[in-house]
Amino acid sequence: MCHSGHVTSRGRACVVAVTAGAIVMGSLASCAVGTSDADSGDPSTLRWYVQDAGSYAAIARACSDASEGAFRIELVEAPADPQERRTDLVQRLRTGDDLDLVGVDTSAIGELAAAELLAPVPGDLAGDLADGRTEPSVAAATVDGSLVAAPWWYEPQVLLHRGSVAERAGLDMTEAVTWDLLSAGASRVGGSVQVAGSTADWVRALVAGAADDPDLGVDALVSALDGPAGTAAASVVRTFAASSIGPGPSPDAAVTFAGPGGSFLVGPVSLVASDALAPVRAELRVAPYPLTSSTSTTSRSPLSGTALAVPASAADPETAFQAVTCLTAAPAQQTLVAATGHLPTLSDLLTSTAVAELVISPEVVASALADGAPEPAAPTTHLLEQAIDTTWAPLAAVGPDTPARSAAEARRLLDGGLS
Amino acid sequence: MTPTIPSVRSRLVAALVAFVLGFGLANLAIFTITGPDRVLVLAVAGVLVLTSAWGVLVADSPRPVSVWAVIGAEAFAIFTLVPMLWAVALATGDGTTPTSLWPQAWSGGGFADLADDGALRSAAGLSVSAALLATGVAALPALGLAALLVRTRWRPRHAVRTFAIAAALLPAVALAVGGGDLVLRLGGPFEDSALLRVALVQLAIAVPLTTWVFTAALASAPWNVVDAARVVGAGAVRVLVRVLLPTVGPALLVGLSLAAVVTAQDLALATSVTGPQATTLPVLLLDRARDPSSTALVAAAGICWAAPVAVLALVVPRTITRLLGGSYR
Amino acid sequence: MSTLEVVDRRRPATGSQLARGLPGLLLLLAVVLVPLGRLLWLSVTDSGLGGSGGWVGLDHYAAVLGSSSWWTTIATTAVVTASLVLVQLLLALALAVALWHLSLLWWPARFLALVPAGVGLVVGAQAGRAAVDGGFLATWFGLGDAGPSTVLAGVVVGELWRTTGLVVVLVHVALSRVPTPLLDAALADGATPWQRWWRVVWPAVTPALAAIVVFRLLDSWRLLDGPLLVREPGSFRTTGSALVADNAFGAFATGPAAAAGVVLVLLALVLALLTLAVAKVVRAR
Repeated sequence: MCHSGHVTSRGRACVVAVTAGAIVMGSLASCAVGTSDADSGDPSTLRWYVQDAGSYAAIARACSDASEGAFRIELVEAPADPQERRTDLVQRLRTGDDLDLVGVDTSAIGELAAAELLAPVPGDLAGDLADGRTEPSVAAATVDGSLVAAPWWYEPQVLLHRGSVAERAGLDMTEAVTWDLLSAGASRVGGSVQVAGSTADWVRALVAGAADDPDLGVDALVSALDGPAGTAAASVVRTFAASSIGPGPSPDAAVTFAGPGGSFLVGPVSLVASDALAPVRAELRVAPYPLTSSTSTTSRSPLSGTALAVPASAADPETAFQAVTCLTAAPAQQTLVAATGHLPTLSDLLTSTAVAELVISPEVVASALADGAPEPAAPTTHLLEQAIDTTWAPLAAVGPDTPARSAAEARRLLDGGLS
Repeated sequence: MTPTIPSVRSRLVAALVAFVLGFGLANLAIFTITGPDRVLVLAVAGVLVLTSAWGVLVADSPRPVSVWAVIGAEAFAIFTLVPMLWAVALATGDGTTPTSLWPQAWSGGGFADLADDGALRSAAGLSVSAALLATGVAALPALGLAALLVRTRWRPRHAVRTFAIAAALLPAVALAVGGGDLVLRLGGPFEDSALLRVALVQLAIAVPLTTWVFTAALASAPWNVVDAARVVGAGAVRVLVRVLLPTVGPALLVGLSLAAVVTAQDLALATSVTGPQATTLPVLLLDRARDPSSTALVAAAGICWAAPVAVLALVVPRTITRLLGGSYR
Repeated sequence: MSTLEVVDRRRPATGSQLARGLPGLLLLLAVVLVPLGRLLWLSVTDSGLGGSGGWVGLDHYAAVLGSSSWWTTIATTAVVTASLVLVQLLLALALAVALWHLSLLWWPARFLALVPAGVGLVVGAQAGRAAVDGGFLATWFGLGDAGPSTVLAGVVVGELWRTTGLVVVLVHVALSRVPTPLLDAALADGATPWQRWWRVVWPAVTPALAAIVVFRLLDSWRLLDGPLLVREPGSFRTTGSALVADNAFGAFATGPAAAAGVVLVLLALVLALLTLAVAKVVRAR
């Protein structure tokens, strides 16, 4: 390169080039100091990956203290969006992020277990972790007959309303009302119906309600979507969209409900204790999850929760399970309710005064837990949810052919199609 | 090229075009643009109108000056400077997307956040170390291969060079799916070190790139001088130190730096083997760029990230030009 | 450029030259062919998260090639690639010719041309998106709410800015290699500027332009960062690379992603060969 031109200019150019190269390399190299390969050496530090991590600092600290130096729990925040959370967690587990405890959404348990990303629960511990827990929460953490994660919190969705709005709308809230009556009532009084939670949860509950079968697996749900149950669900959604009573499933649902003009909110029962609803807490009323149609008899509320698992890649599974035991024990469950409003999985606690005070209407919650529609604990649950989320949005575009389209999309994904 | 004297007509047409462009821009500025941007666009329109006036004045000048070329150079300046100004406006903003091209906030914005962001710094560190490691590993073997390709009549030399270029231009995501899957299965040091995983998987682009730039660099080595030195009895070391290092050494070094820069910009390969705990800068920036409130931070990081290229372009522009020119021979 | 290239001084390779080249050759083949081989293997096995790893034959290919979303994405990729390369080439040609005439300005121009390439791809894409989504272009031209097509156009413009400078430099190098004696002779013969361009300059630069077009086509074909930044779930206004990345590293559907990756690579090769063939025809005429 330096061969053309005069000798002197060539020499200068070369010196300059070498210097420049050295500067660039040097400056790049100096940035390289502090490359982050986190200290995975200390076995007594347990990294706990969980959404809304800030709320669990007290529980983590209490269990760390109780372990008498066996471990110290450090919190790692998970993304708030469920789909993002799933991707983030799987990517972390595949690429060897040193997590020791993970809070797994019940919808992802089947998939993670099938991918062998979770450490097996020691045989003697499985009984203890499931002992005294609500039945659906144990089922949600059980894959192929064995417990793969510790039930931690698990809750139904309910219908919340403010003050006297239900009476004004002419709705009798002692029994479950139908979605269509709810839409019409809210529309009549100029109110709104906010929907917290995902589209997939909503549609799954509507289909389960129409089929009057709470415990549908992935394949059964796909077939149901393609039949009368899917048509009934689409009819509810279309009436909802036509009534102009809210945007449908939205992360801002709780905030909008607590704002001026808010009247109805369909969402997880733990919202009652959320900061978003604190301003209207005094006027909150709880009713069962709405019915899909007037022929439905039982309210089928979407159930979901989080279980605690130990990744297969954990450095010290034994200590991690020790921590899981502590984090799901009665004292930690009490702190959980007080801090977040999430429903504990210990049956005894569900009837305690702390919970009764929180959930306002324990009977509603108890029957919702008994009759509700859980997420299938299958490896393919996320594919079905993805198919529903993409085909049932936006709400205004939902038509008579939407259920069939979503079933077709789900089948395509289940057959290994591109997402 | 040899200067030529354009015709009067060509210059007048160019002047007319400059005037129309300037007039159009001025109208755009007056009727649709508000704030400091209006002044900016009016200034550009003014330059174009002045160019037009100058074009009319020099229309019959015997000097070899092309009005078209001047307009082209102005267009080039606008095309490169406007986005740079926009990047600065983004980086100095308060986080939200600024609505005007001219920087409004000057608050230090993203640059201040950059200094406090440990995750970003460690991601940059991982990117740089992995790219340097990958290109460093590739350097010596690629040099031997490039010498073989450039210097000899070795029969498959064209096929091998084409293979290297094709590999460097393949969709990296395809290499990432296969390579990432393999690298994640490796145990031992690779299990614990994101640096080793990223460097290993990035070899898939570092080796072809390095081979490519080295063939470009070696193509212009004074091989006749080397041969002459050999004939008069100079040893291999002497030829290396006295002839090759001073002549192609800088080009090799700059070429290696460019290969490292391109490798460090890789997104697909790094994504395939890293998780959120420790990842490279492009992966982290993609994540941050999805969050609208990080606009300033991402732009600031991009400006800093361009510093090595800017330094190279400032100090050794001719070497870079030669390498780029040699890349497609 | 110099006489060195004119006279081919190559000699048959000696044993030691081969020995020095061999490690590089093996390394090159290994780092490219091993991942590609693994990609092929993944594409014919049940290789997703929790998959059995068993042989599934061409099922993944059937799923990919039979899906309308894949072909919509490929169409989007083709449109993005074609428009990016065409606009970029015309722009770079015009700017490089202008700068070729103004040799005094080449030094600062070259610096301005090279710097944007150093800005990361994500950052260029983000700047482009921000410009049309609430930024200065949106304000100037009253673009309002940016839809998926607009933001995709925005990130393509960002990529255009990032890489056009490089193309200007490449074209400028090609122009500066046009033999001066030829140009002088044409001038002495009284050739008009157009004649000089089409008869002397154009034939001299076409081989270089063909190579540049192939580089840019392949590089645009694999555009990943920008489309990943602006994609929306369920929308297929994205590129093939982004779709593969989403399936492999977002959905962990490794099998279909690998099959799509293989198809993407094959299409890239077809694209390159087609371009070279067209260039050959153009040159022959």
